[in-house]
Amino acid sequence: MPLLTPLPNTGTHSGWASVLLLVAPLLLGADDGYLREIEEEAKRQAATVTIDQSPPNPTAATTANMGETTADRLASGLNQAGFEQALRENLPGTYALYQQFDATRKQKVYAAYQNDNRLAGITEQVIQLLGAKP
Amino acid sequence: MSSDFAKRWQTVLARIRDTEQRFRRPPDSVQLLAVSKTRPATAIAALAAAGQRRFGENYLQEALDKMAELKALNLEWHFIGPIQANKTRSIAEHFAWVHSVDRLKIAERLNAQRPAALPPLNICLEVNIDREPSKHGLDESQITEVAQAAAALPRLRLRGLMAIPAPVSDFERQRQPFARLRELRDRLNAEGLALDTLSIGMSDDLEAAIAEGATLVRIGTALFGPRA
Repeated sequence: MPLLTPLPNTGTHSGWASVLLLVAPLLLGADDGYLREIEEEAKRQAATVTIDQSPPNPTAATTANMGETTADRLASGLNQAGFEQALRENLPGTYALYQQFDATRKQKVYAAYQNDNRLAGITEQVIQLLGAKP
Repeated sequence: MSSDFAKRWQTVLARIRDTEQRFRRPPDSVQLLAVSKTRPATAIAALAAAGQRRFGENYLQEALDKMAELKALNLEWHFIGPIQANKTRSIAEHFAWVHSVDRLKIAERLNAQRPAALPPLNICLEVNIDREPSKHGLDESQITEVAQAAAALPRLRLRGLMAIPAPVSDFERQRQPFARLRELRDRLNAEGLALDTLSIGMSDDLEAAIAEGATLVRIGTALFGPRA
């Protein structure tokens, strides 16, 4: 509050200097308070960051750079190169299996995707072509 | 036969990697523990040939027999079954990890019996997260006290928490107990511990566990096939 009080008009520089000397301790005290506020704000920001690092809700787990890709489907209508890129970004494990396939099996996966773009359906198709028995 | 094991192993790894991506977990942050209880040593060897190194066993004598048979493969063995106090010496002498420490007395015995020539035994505290009378595990209210005491034992390395929730099929409901366990782990870390492991998730709730922070998933049937 004292800092918000208008300073007295002494009319001379030496008068101002005297006033500054008088209020210096108050300014220093204000610095402490200000620093405390900054520290507290920093702690609040850190807490916010920690909260942001918690695992996201699956419904929000969409891919930002794939316009129509959703949590459970790849974007539809992709050409094979686009499909492979989307597969690599969204299903890296499935993509690793897909990479082992010859061109014929890759084409079969792509054809299956054109009929069913669900992530689960694509993985299922790759596993089926891999020949793994559950 | 080996080919089937390799394909199943690759399929499970693909499922884990896909789920890591889906829930924005770092790549390879979830490790696969192959649950090999009641499986023959030949099946374990086939899975090891595919690339699997970590195996989990529930029954001590069965595990010791397989360890002897597969010694040359240099596998990492995890004990994940209920622990009787009179079996702790063998467990302390033969395993790299114990996931099912459910009372301080067991931790103290493992600590006292861990051979000096071996590195500290990695342990997880088992939490009875759904408070099921039929299941082993510490109650949440006991965890802080036991964790602080176990962390102070020099021949043990307290790595984290393990739980087996009551089975449910709904994904969101599967996540709930795992989320509670993660919060419990975070609380312990806030109190000064350094737990890096959540041993949660099996074949039927793998995705929910990874969504909530699993670092080790315990998979049996999906790797070895259905039991005969």
